[in-house]
Amino acid sequence: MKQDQNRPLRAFALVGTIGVEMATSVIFGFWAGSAIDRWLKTEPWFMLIGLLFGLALGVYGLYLLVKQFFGE
Amino acid sequence: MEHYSPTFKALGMTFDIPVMLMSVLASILVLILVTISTRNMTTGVPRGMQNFFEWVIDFVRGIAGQFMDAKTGTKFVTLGITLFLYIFISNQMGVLANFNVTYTEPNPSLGITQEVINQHGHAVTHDGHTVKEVTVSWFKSPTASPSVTFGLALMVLLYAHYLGIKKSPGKYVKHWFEPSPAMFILHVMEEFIIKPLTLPLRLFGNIFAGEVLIAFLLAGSAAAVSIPLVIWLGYSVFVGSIQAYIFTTLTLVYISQKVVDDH
Repeated sequence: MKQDQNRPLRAFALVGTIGVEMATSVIFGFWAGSAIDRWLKTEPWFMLIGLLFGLALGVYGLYLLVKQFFGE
Repeated sequence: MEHYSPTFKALGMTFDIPVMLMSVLASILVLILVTISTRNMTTGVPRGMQNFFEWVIDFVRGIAGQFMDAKTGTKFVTLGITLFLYIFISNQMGVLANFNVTYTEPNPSLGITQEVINQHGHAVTHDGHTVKEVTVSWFKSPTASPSVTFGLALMVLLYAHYLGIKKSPGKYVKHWFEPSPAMFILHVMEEFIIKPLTLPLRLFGNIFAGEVLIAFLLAGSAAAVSIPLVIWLGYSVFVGSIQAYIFTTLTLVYISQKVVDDH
């Protein structure tokens, strides 16, 4: 019963979480990659690697989170 | 429109006076609320405020129950209630009241010196002569300041790591390398960069955006902004409640990732 009461709120929580988690990871990857590029003058390679790494990080972070939410 | 926030420097840090006052006020409000709701408690049929508080406890217990078993969850209900009430009340403070004080004369005891007025004030003409004035928003949500939300998140995340280490140091070390050692770098990034950024930024961003739009609407003419303002205030109350719920939920998720065995 308690689970049912919380279901809409859990949906809100997940929606509010997914966007921020994904965006932060990708922006962080992009920023870190660009910083390495500026340092080593290798534009744009580390930026691309960082971007992909950020995507992977976002997906993995969400996987860990969603696993807790639907952890049966 | 632009609000100045009086600050003072001590020990190499800058302290924002309105934010400090508001975070203390939020704690006092929570204390008063909890004291009123738990006074004259009865073990029989609860009446009045006791009903409310029992609902809050049930609600937080329900959140904890989603992520851990009842026995482990009960240990963190107190933390959950504290966080939920503090963030909920903090979020609503800036919505329900938005007091601004305008200074044209220096008031050094409040951090408004002549220098501040000259630097941050904007010129306004009163009765033919021009004065510089500074607007200070004394009453606002403490959670609309990144320092408060980053502080809350840091406490919660450090506590989660502490619980993980205390429960079983071996398992704590091992979980960094699960499911494969290649995941170590992802875990480090997730724990030390993404979590400490997303948890506070989500709360800060939502509440700050709400306050900025409220301040913006209040600056407009009554005829044009009254309807949007009412809608936006209602929405801000909703956002404030949801954000309090999300912060509490994620806190318990992060704790459960460290103390529950099945991962």
